[in-house]
Amino acid sequence: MASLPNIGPENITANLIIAVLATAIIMFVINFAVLFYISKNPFASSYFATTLLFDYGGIDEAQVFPVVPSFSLSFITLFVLGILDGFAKISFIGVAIASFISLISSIKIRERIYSKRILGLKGHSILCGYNRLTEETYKRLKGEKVIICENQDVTEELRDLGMEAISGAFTKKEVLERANAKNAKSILFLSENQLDNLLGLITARKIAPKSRIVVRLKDESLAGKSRRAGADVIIVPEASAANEAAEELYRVAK
Amino acid sequence: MSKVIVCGFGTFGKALTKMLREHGINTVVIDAKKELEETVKETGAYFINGDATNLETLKRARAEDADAIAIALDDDAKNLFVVINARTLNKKAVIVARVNEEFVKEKLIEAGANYVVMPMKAAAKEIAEELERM
Repeated sequence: MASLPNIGPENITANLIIAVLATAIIMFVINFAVLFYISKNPFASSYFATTLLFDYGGIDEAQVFPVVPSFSLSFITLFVLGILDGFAKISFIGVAIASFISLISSIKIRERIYSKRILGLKGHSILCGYNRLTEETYKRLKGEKVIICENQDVTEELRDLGMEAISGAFTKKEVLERANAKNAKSILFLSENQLDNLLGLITARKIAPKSRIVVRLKDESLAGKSRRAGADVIIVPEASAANEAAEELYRVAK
Repeated sequence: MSKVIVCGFGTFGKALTKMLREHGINTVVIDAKKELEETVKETGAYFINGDATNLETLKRARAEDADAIAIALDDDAKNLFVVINARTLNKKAVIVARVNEEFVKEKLIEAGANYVVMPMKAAAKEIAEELERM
């Protein structure tokens, strides 16, 4: 079974632009062919074929009269030219509007708007990886926060909820830079993948030497390596829960 | 406190067992994986090989005599089951249970758990406190 074509926003915009141009060319050719057939005058036919595309008033005998002064246009000719003219206008305008809307809503433009806002932040926290721990931590942290999430759909949902979010792999330097890591007060690597967290830590330490870095681990034995790599806080959620449970058991034992 | 039973020796159960042993508390660990026996014994705790959701396994661990039972399995549904069985065997013990989803928390309390811990909430709280301190 053939796979579906990639219809990402860049492809839609490009395809719509091609469709607009193709529609205009096809309608020009048809209009020119009809007018030339009648008048045998290529220059006048070109001129009026073009005006038929762009004139909002609609086709009438006055437009084609200069081309065919001695030709008595039949109703059918006018009707056909009118249909072609109307179709061309509807297609052209419709496709032009769709292209414009697509361009405005294209992700690249929105990403640029978001990036500009984020690049203006200072002393914010960057939360890398979106999961349950990120949600809970987001609620508790004070100040401005930016979430880095690999999934574009989740990123859009977070933005719809009013959160600053950018999409991308937090292990990459350019993604951390888009999140304005060098001006961040804290960078938290909270993904469920501890190796990605460690990779992110190493990358972040180079570009944000003053930021406080938190790293989530699953295996406590990696804590030493993480500290040597520059982590300020190591978090193992299950160990945090065990600590809380133990506190409760000691309290009950007293 | 004379005896605590820890059901499950994953990351949570292991960390809890170590803390309890550091405080000199007698601890019995129940886990289905036999290969964990040596690791458990290194902490100074006793090991019972078996499925904690099974009432017979809890009886083998003498759950009816325990002062506290900590339920540390990965699966919320299993934890709920163990809470019900543990409460059936022991009306007085303090039951501390681990849960992942918020909506299960109330069910565990209704089933007889005295205290419920959520790893992600506990971790988030710790992160916020650590960053506040810095």
